[in-house]
Amino acid sequence: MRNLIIFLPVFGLVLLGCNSDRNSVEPDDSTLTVYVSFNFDLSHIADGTFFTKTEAGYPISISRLQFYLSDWLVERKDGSTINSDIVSLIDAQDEDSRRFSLDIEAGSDWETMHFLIGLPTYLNHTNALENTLENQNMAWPDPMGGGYHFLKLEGRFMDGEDEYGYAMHIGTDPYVIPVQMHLEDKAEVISQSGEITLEMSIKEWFANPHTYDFNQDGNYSMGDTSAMLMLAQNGQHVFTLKN
Amino acid sequence: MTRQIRAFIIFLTVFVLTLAVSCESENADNFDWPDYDPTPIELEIPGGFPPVIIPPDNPLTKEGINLGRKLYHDKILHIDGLLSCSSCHLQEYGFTSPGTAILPHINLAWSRNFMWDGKFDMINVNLEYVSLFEVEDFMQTNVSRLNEHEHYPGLFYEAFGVKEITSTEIAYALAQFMRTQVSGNSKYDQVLAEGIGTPVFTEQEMWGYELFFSETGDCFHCHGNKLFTDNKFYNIGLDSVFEGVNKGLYSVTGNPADLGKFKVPTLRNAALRNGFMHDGRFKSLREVIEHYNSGVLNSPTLDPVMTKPGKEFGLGLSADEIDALIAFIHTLTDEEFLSREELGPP
Repeated sequence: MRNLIIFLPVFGLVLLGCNSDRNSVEPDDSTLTVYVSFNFDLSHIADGTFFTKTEAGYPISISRLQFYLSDWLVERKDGSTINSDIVSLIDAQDEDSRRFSLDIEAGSDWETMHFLIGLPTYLNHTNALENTLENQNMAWPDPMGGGYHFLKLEGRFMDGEDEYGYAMHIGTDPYVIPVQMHLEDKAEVISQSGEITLEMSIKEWFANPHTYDFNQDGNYSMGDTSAMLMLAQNGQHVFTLKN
Repeated sequence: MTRQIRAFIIFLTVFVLTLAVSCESENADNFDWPDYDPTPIELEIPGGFPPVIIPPDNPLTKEGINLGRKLYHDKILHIDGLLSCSSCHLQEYGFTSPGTAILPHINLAWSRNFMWDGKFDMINVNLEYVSLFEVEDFMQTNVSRLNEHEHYPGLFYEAFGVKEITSTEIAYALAQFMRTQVSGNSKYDQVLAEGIGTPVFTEQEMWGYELFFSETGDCFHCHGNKLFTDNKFYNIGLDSVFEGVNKGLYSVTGNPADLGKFKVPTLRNAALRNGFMHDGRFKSLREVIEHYNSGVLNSPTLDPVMTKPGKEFGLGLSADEIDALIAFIHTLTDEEFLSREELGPP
């Protein structure tokens, strides 16, 4: 018992010591943080609400939204470039996945930013990325060409009184989606905050330049090259800069 | 001395005495304790499998795994001594029971959600948490029986350094053992390894593989990758009206969007089973594929992947294609796993 009486206060001191050290690691604020947001209430993914309409007039819900972002390249005003090989799998329902760091430092002389929705060719083959519990269902099967799904956007749509599912899947090299953002006067703000916010508009996937019609263009795109091409071209306009 | 200080000293004395009495049983005083020096074990992970996250407070050790193995096969865990884990999770059937809907204990080290209806789908729920439920709620283990046992106190001390066994150590030992129930050496795995002397698919198995991993069979969206499950929940059109156990994930979340959604089971060793889906309604792989082929029922929560144009609510596979798919799924049987001595009774 004497041991216990001595042990308790010592143990208490140890606990106090542990508490003061918690989270003592300094965040690395020298690199650019990318934050991906969406122009709708993400709780709708879980509740199945038909919360918006496509350009073609179909009310839609979303049950899954996952995509890769990769191959980052920044052009400076003097024409020089810097790039980052960071690959990020974004799951709209996973808050942690929506914020990540690039291994480059933000600069006020940035002019244009380029990245891919999807993966560059050198990474788009089976097992190019380490298998994880997060990415395992993004594989694009070998009999269909191998590599990874660039995008999975799934949900349901209303056609009159009737309800159907849709699954917009994009993959394979020709359908990777290049995105270009002109930073203009926002480069200074980004440089100071060290963070860039990219907002995805869901409606744009079905609107610009192609008005995507589930009944005419298909409610299931995987393996449908014309559907994937339309979606990939629309995908170039889904992000806007929100800094 | 103020009244507050006197009260504090009395409280401290009572607290310490209570702790001392409760922590040391008579059994503990008289026991010849072995050494506590557990041997770390690294889990052997088959090629291409995702990394395993081992909780820092329950690292794999030789002593912990061996103890978990002994407990897994011992009916002492059951309140009435009628069941062990292995009574329902039979190794020769891939750690499930024939004719039942019991989910198999295969590759649970990579599992995120547990139980058909996601009873344990909370963030950070792991095997330790689920095992604790099995010990306390399902088996209703009488822990004193283990504390008074001739061998168990010493084994628990060797594994965890505790002289008083609680439900937590039992659950932790079981979790360690279950992380070793790794199946990744089927014919499918051997074919993919493409080494010298590795087997090759028959023509029918190859056809089945191509169907499985293409839009024709479209099995891969849920059963893809090395684990043959994505650990998620889907409504695959078993019912259009949801009552009782058919409510699935909804019965846990209360979210109407989750009606009829169930966890995707792994297809590894599925050819050994003759009870499929959450209620065991299908008795063969053929019946399962027939469901996907022509029996899918529409409802507001039916998974979008199940509604392809031209194949709405059914794949339309030919009889030969169904045979090929079945042949391929048979290649996921891992004979070495089914007879691995380290997983059987000690």
